[in-house]
Amino acid sequence: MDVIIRNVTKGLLPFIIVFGVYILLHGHLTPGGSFPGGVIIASGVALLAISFGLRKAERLVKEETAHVVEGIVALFLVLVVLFESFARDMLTPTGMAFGLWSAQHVLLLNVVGGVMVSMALILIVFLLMKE
Amino acid sequence: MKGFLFIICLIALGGMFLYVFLSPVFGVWERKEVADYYLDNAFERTGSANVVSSIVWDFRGFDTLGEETVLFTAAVGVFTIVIFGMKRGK
Amino acid sequence: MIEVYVGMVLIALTGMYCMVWKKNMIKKVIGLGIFTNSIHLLLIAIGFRTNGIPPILTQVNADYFAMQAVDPLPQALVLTSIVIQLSVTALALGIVTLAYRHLKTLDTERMNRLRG
Repeated sequence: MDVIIRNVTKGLLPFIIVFGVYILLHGHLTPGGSFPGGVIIASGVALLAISFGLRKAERLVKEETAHVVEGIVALFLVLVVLFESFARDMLTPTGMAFGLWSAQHVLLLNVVGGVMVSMALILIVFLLMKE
Repeated sequence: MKGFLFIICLIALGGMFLYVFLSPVFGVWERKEVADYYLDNAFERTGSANVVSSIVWDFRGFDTLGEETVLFTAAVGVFTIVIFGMKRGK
Repeated sequence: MIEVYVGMVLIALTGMYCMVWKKNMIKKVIGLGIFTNSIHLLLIAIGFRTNGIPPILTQVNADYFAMQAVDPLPQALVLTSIVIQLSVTALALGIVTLAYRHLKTLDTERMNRLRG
């Protein structure tokens, strides 16, 4: 697109993705969680697709990869949630309180849900921009 | 004429909303059963300091499961619409 | 606290006006988003508490946490509702794109006069 937008995107995209992963991983300590983190990661990739065109953005995430990953992660999320409601005793929280590795199943579900949300949004953006 | 009638209907609807939402006193409550249970027991049962995250993933996990289904269906639906549009254009 | 409810009613009326009166299809989709956001604002404003703190447990406020935290349940419901609004907007924009490619116009008055 424009020269200014291309240069700003080239310099700013790694920070956007790192920021999204940070909000994802600290979902059990600060406000946030899977949905804002996934949306921020998908916004970074959407910015790349708008400013450089669809071909260059496909080198980062292919469209078929988003399809397959989203399907597998959806199945995994259903199995984890159904399993967690029947076997609560195996998932007691360990580790230091208020640390990063505490509340294991909330952390696991945040990561899984964040991957699913970001892949679904990337797929929607790529499909609406086709051709 | 039609625009004038429409604005009057909108103002009547806004008046009904305001009459309902300004009569009770919001903001002062001593004890709510559900909220107090969540605020007391979220840290012992899940170990996460964020009460909203533990509600969304642990206490009410099935609602989140249904919402992920809606998101997945929307992605599949957009895919179907785009493929249908490309096939029709041939 | 009265300003929040008056603001919510004004935003809802603006959203409804955009959905009904504007002729461009994309402006109608934007009006749907505005209306849904006003309902989210109402849901969060109901669970407010005077001089409240956010429902995040830290080492500093462990003593008075249960006495002063705002209600965490409407925030969880609004989190779900935002994702559902996103899905509805994505599907609506997909249908608008399909309609534009077939009918070559985005104006609802001109769409009413086309046949087939």
